[in-house]
Amino acid sequence: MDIALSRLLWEDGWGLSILRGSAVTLAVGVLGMSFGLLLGLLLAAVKWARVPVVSQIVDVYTVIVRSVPGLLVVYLIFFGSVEFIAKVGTFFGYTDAFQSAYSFIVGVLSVGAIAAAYAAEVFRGALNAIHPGQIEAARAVGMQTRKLYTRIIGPQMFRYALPGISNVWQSTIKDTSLVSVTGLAELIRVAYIGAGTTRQPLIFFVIAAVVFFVITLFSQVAFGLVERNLNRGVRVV
Amino acid sequence: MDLDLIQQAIPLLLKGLTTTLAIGLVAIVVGFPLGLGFALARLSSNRTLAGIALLYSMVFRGTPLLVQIFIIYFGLGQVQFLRDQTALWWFFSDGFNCATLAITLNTAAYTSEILRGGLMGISAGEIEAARACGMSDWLCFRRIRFPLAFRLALPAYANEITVIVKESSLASTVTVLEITGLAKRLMSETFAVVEVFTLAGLLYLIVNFALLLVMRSWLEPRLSLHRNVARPSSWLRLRRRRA
Amino acid sequence: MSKGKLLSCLLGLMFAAISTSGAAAQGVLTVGTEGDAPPYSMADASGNVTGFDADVARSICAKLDVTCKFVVQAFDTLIPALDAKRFDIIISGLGITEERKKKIGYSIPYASAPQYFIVSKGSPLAKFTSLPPLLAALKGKSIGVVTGTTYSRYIAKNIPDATIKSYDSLTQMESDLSAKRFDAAFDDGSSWTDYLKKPEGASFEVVPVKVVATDDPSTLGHGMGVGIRKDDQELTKKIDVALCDIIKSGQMKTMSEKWFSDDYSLTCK
Repeated sequence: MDIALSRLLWEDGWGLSILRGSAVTLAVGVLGMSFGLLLGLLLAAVKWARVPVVSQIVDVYTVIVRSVPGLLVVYLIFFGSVEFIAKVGTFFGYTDAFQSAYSFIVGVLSVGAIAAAYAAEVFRGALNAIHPGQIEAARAVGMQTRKLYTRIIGPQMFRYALPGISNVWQSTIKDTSLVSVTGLAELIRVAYIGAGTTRQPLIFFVIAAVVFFVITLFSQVAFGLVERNLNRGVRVV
Repeated sequence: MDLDLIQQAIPLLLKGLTTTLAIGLVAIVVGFPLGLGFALARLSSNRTLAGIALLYSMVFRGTPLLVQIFIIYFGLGQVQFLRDQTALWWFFSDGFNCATLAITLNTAAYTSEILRGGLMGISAGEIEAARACGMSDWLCFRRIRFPLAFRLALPAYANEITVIVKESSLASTVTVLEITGLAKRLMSETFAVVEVFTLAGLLYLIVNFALLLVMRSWLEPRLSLHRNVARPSSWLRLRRRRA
Repeated sequence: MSKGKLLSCLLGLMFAAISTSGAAAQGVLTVGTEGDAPPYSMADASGNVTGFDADVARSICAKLDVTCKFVVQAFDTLIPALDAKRFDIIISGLGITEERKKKIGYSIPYASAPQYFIVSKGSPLAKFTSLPPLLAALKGKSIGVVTGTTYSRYIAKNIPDATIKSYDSLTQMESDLSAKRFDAAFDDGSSWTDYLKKPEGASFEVVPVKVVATDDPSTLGHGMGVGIRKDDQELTKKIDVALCDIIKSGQMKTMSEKWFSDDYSLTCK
């Protein structure tokens, strides 16, 4: 069994394919999460500031995306928006490589859209947790708005939001598995093809599971460190 | 918008709804007690038991559900021993069984975390009082710890139920014809991508909305009847009161 | 990590993950294909496509003096994606049916294969030699088909009492067939010839009841054609001419015999 495994991984080249697939998974996860965080922050700010009509639209968006399965979101974006994705691709300089980048961009957008909905809720909760008295005090001493955001609101929001964001990241990196249905050569797709070609599904899917497990474990440790760093000097009552 | 198509699609997707709800029901009915068991194991003083529960929780929460479904359906389908046992194979040959098993195991892990949080959130005073009254461990659990933990965990568990309904869509990747599976089949025959998937999404939305409504406006208040604080008997009325 | 480093890291990941193609803007024909249906269309992890359909595509591209670029996707997603302009044509054993003609246009048909049922060796179903009793015997059984194919519609129409197991790809269906997860499967005879050559196919046999497209053309179609968007009239004409050339020169017959050990090519009028 061990000899067969090493033969599979090294000689038949599957080891390299799995590594490439993992890189794609991480890329989709990181880029999707970045996009989701930015969008989520924007949506949360809109809701927190109670902008009249837009807040309701943001509400509808977050409720829909959180109630509908991720698989459907991926399918809808995959089929529904070829022109839009072409524009996104061209923006990033992918006019000719658009075809191969299509699934990747679909993946980033759908994963990001889902992450944004959850992140918006997390950021909103974090913003609401900041005591309004602090903002009043800052205005009372005549603090400029920019300083208010970067010295008072920003740091506290990040500290409150961090556990929630860590959860959003954990589910985002797992949501990247859904992008495999678009044919993108990420980890699950590579494992699927490998399982089909070599008729050994158990090995391939277990390896995929192990890779994800390592990624989530590593993320958990990393987020724990950041949390401890951010909570330096905070008195625990 | 093809109205003909929508008329054709709705009864088909409703058939898928029964399958989706079946998966959800099994996941809740089996997953909840399983999750409770793992939660208690995590909190027990037996280090091995706690360790096993921790490992289970980490593995099932740290890997995507899709991989878990594939391992159970494709991976176990490869094991010759299983194929030779008629009884076991009768179970594992069906996509519905494999997907439901994977979803149940997955939700048990998340439920165990939720219930563990609930159990840990009970103030020590209540348990001390129970012990002082001479309650046995089992009586204390049945009358004090579990009801309190359940009430604390309810918002998070309501969320978990909506996640279960959403995750049931992954069963479509292993031939199960629930809402997403039927939507895909319909799309491949009619080529009306946006209409079919929007309809399917709407169906999930309605189901999750209904579930949340039931949880928030019926179950939660019912469990908080003894509290003297303002009782929002309707989730909708609560919103209006705040505005 | 400074902001600049972070940004370049992110971009680096993005570039590393995407296999870039430096192909010229002109002279490229993007072909949508299934990639998961031996012996028609097989794709490996890096996206290299082989098989009958790949050969047909490459010979068309050679005739049109362009490079072929393959886009691999699940079969039932090919037509909507063609509509959404994800690729220029579909070459994936796509049967020509009236239903599909409402959505996309076709070239002239270039091949047509008969369909067969496959069952486990020694199954009582294998003893049938004519279609009506076979269809009657399949009532209540589970039958595997690929989603969106004419074969799945045929089963849904003629054996409504059967439990249909729909798969996204032929390889997935074959994998479950080997695991004996259903009683019978229905697909092209060429797929079964290929399957029986593999070690897993050893315990299966084809039911000797031939189903040809002319039996039920409204469901099974009028042969395989190249799928092209309806408004791409110029491309359709070019491909028709190229296909006619390929058929008349005997190249289609050679390719068919290479992959199917039989001549399934059609004539060009």
